[in-house]
Amino acid sequence: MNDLISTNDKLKDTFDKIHAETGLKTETMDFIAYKTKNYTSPARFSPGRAALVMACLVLLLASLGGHRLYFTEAAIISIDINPSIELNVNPFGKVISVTAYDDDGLRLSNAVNVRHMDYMSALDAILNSEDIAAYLDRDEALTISVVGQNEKRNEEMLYNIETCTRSHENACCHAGSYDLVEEAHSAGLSVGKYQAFLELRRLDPDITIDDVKGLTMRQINDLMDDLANGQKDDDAENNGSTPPCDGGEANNGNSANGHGPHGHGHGHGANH
Amino acid sequence: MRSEQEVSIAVERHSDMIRRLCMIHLKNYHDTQDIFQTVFLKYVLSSVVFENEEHEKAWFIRVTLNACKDLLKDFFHTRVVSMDELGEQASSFSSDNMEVLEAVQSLPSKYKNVVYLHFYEGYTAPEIGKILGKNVNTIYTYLTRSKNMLREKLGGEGYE
Repeated sequence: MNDLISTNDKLKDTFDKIHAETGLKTETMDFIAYKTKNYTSPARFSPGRAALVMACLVLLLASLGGHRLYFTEAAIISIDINPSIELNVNPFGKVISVTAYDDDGLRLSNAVNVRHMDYMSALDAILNSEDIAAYLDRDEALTISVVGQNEKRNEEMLYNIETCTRSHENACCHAGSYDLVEEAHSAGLSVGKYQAFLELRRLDPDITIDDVKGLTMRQINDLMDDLANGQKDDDAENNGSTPPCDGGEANNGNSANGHGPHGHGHGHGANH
Repeated sequence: MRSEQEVSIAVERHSDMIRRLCMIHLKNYHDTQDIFQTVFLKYVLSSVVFENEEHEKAWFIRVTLNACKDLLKDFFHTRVVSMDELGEQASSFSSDNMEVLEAVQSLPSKYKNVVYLHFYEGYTAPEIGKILGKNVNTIYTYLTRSKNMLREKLGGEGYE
């Protein structure tokens, strides 16, 4: 009988000693307040529900013939460091495909899957990837070019991207002309790198596509500086200024208008 | 949506029970935090009107057990075992307590639930059947088997 009582008591005694920690309760209350915005709005989001909504949306679009529209390219975001990739964005702001222009770009596009993400989330994922972080740690220069057929959308995208890259000191953003897309691609370059090539060729007409293909954006910027400085030596105005796309905040702001020192007139909203 | 005051009362009223259910099902404190957040978020968003405290308590038991089950379905959680679940409470545990807790934790999930609900919370088999959505005869079977298993692990005859 003693055994009988003591075993039940042992169970009770054991569970009696288990209590929710004060910290656990406080953290839970904080979490609920955060999720409900201090009990003002229900936190209805759940990945399952979002996936369901997305699935329904995709079905609806498909049934209405929206499939074709979804996979229509409306803009290109060219991201160049040494990896050169382009995000092809549809009219809904979703990334429909990623094109790599070199081996590093191919590795990056394989490592970070951004298809069907909205372009800001995609950019965020890419910029925070280990590969890109490693390049930026090595002080490589990051150039992001936005080209699209709709000027208003271009401006909006550029504004959003500038906001996203503000914390990256070596980042330079600008808008470009959609007319360049075909030329750039037939030359085997991303739009961003092709724009840099055009600027280089303006400074040195002997520069060829093959000369820039293997160069990183940092090397291209340095080359531009060297060429520009060489020209300016003559008028004694040059005093060895900062390279075009690594000027931190100032460059982020200035290049928003499409005119870093290697700007070439395809500025903010300047779609030709 | 429920008010902050309602949530605060519910946290004070049911946290210990939820903590005990987590203790027998989960292997680490971080998972317990997840369960607390899931359960109380469900509560704050739920529009269920509870008839009385017992009804509310049964709701919390069911939601907690479902949340634990969902968490344990995850590949990672089913295979990673960490013994930090006791946390700061370990100091108040005697060797007997540890033995009992480990014995309960080693039971299959369905038996853990009936052991806790019957021996500690004092629910009858029909009440447990209602809470867990199981046939009452199934609960009786679970109770008998879990008593036998605990007897093997802990010895003695003490299960009423």
